Amino acid sequence: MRSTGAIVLLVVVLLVGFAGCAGCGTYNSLVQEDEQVERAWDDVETQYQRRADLIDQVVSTVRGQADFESETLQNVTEARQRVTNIDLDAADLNDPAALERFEQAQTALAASLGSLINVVREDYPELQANEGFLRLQDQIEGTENRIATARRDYNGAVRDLNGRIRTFPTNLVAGFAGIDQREGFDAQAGAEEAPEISFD
Amino acid sequence: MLRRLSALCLFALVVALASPASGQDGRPYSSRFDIPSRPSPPRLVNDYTGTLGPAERDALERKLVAFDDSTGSQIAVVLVQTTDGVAPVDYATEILREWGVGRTDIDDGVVVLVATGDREVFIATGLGAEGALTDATAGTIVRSIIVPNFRQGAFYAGLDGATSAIMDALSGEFDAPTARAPASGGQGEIGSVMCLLLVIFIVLVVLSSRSQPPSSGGGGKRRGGRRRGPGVIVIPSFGGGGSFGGGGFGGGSGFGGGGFGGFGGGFGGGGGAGGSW
Repeated sequence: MRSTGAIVLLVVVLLVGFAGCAGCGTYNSLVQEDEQVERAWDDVETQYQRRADLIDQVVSTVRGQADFESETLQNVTEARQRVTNIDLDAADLNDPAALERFEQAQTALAASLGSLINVVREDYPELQANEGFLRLQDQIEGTENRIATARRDYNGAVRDLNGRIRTFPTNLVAGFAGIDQREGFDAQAGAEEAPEISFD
Repeated sequence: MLRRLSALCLFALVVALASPASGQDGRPYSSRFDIPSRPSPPRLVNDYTGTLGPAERDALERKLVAFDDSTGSQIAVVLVQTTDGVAPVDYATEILREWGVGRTDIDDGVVVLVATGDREVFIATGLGAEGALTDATAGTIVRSIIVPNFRQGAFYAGLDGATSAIMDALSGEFDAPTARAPASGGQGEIGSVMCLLLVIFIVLVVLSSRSQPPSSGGGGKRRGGRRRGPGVIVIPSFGGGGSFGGGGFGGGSGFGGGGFGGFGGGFGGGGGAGGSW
């Protein structure tokens, strides 16, 4: 009788330990995926910041141009300012409204930059042909590409995490550990749909 | 009791099944575009259009392999008919990532993509090559070397000149490469291993307490005492969600001398510049 009890105890300990191990593994991989999302978000922010810096350069270059149309320039400066005011921390990535605000500000900036470039192309041919300005445009275009890539990577990371969190029984572990679903970018409002800035 | 046990059993099984990571290798992306599969045997010059002659292709290949051998940086030249509506930057970046052009964690690969039917060209830079080969430099190479040559149909001359310019830009930059922070991972495995060790420890404790000789009736031989230990230790294979290092088959099967050893597992983030002719 004593030995049967011990065997049952052993089996229980084994099973609990096994489940605990598996839970640990699930938890750890969830945490890693969550961190992956945050890293991907850092990338996104870095690229947006890079674009903002480049826009400062464009603005100062264009400003050096005599009688440059001031309204367009004004729009860019204002949009640039708004972007600076919206700082979205990785911790807020489960808030759709916060992401939406971030998104709107960035889209507005891209649009104002697009019209600035258009004005340059149409009215300031000597600036458009300037190699320095061309290189600046290369950099901006490259940044737009990086933003698009970073956004896709971020969305991929979010999709992976959310998919796992929604699936049984990972959802139990996630619920227990307080790992929430993250908010992805709306594909429609994505950089793919942003006003195209092309310099060809 | 039995019911409770079997319920527990089921739960453990389900959790264990769910626990392996979802096939991620620690990099936040999955293949999104339809690109040519990684060439086997690996080649640096991949002309899917027949634009380059065999001699031209070999000459370019030799030059790129020599550069790979001496510096470790990989430049892949890919000619396709069309990107099927995919933006050249995305197509080229996808090739860079999927093929793993450049060294793992240094990410100093460069892909020169030419879509002859679309008349589009793009130079995609790996994350570690962006500093040496900036978008602006890549753009200048496209504008000043590739486009003028391609307009005259001189594809080889354009690619030869462009790859030389890329090499110039890359050279020297990677004497002291600063690797990116390695993809995280390992912690999960450690945690799981610790858990496993704990369980084994508990099991051993239980077993050893059971195999104590009975206190009463001294001198009695324990029958089969030695067979009480577990005959087989089954180690459950729950993957702790660790990442298995950034892919890439290193393999240096340089047959015949001068052959390309294989792509190194580099990565890119959409850097580079392109144009059309």
